[in-house]
Amino acid sequence: MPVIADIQDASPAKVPDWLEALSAALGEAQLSTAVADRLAYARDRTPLATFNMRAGRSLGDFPVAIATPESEAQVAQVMALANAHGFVVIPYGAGSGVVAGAIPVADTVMLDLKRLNGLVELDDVNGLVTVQAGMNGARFEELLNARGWTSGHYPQSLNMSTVGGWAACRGAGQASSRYGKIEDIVVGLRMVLPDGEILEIKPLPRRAVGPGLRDLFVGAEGTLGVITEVTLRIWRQPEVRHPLILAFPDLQAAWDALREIMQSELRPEVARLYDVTESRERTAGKAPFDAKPVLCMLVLSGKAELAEVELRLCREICEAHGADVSASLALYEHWQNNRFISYSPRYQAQRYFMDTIEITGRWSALPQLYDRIGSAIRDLHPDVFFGAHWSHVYPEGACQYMTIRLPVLDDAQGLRLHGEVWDRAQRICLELGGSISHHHGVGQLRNPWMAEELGRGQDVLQRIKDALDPNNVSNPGKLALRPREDSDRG
Amino acid sequence: MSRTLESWPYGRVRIPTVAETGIDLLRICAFCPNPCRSEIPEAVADQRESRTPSALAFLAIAVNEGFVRADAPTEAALSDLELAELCRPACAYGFDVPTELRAFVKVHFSEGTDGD
Repeated sequence: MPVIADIQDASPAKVPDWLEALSAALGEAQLSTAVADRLAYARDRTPLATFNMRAGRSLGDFPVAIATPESEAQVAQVMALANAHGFVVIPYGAGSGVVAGAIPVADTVMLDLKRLNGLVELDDVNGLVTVQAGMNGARFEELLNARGWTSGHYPQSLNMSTVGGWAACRGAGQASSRYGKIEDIVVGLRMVLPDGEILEIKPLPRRAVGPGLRDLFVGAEGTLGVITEVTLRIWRQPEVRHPLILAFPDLQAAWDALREIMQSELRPEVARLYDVTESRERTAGKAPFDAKPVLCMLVLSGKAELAEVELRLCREICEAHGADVSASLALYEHWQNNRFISYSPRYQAQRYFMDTIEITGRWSALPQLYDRIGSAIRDLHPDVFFGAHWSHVYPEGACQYMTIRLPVLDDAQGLRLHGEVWDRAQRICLELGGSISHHHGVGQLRNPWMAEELGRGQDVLQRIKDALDPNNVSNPGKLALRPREDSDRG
Repeated sequence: MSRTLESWPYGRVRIPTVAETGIDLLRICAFCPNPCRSEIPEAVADQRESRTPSALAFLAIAVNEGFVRADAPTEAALSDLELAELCRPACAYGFDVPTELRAFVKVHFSEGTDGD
């Protein structure tokens, strides 16, 4: 594994010839080989990368250079040169990914897209917005809000992610139960394919012209080229938001209530259910949670009259499953004020081994997914923290989002146990018919479990990759696709 | 000694005390994913990741731990605080990262540790 201490010692003989061609294409100001840049782009927010970085190592290679194109044409130039010279290109938005999707390999040029950050068009008639891929998520939402619109996509990473990154990683926001996930929101896009050609998928409500190409690229994590522009469906900002804070007697009652809500065609903007561990940390056991310890938060929104009806119906369903309604909205207000903040930095800074794992399961499987994974992880260490919540719900099931925190340990033991946490969680998930990822994606972290996740589909994905990227230049080795090999260098 | 984190969801977990000044503060920033970055206007031409507060804080940590030598390019990188200043008002922890970085540079560079 590369060590940070080596980054300043690259000899001139190692500087590849193609850097000159790249510099000529982009201009010197848009290409950097500075140590500070190569270090900064060697990581994203993958906890495993953090664990290694704080110990003086890099999870992947240090990139050779960082390109900061200011146009789609320049992105195309970079991809064309990558094919001609055999270097790797990894698209980089704001680097908020947590599954090593933007970790460099040998001969990598990181392609920072943040200069492609303009609004292209806001179409008030058709409710569409077209934006360049590198625009910051929070600034994008502010821009929409100023015109009376919302994208409905509010990931915890809203402030530290880009719109293109949302699409590339197939993300989901906290209001997904009403507005859908990013694949429901993206209606069109432009991208530079691995060979440097431009592909446009027209933004239309629907088409019946063969399989949906959009879905091939939404979630491709940069392995099939670079998304440069996205057109999204947007919504009028809701007239009202009605929070409903509920205390359930146990998890099964809450799961049953949420299932009934979703199967009754109700559309809460927010549906968040916490296990007893995570509930207790929010409620401190105060009434009504002293008697009913499971916290659930719903938000009904939209047109005032509709939202009021949905509020009443949701409340009736929950009460029928034994829930009490909290008179205080303090928990909702606290969540609103902190929903876009990460809680891990203080722990990571102090050398805890903290991570999150999100999976998808059907309602019938959730009890076992929760019990078995929790039990398997708690068995690893007496001081491990394990908590879970369910914050993306569907008629068929939900996302189980688990927070795991191992205590301060020596480096080798911490890394070993962290690896065990992942392996146990992913294997039990597969055994119980779940999906290994709901919205964080695959990156390279989830490579070991992809063959079982996709079955024959992994081979189909590889064939598509080989057809579109025969030289394997576009973020190789992610999504369990073939890693970079010597023969790829040409 | 231990302290209680003020923010839930882990509000009553006891973790060892850190001063949250100087290098301890920078270490938290280094492992924070830059939620403050939404303060950076689109018009800023140079949006390289290395200029963000978290990347600068990590570079400082790397110098402090001896992973990166305190040479002139590193000093220049750590002294480029345009984005850190823009982000300062939005720090989720209320930290003044640019001031801490200036203090770090003064101690590790300007007083002549290894600058070339």
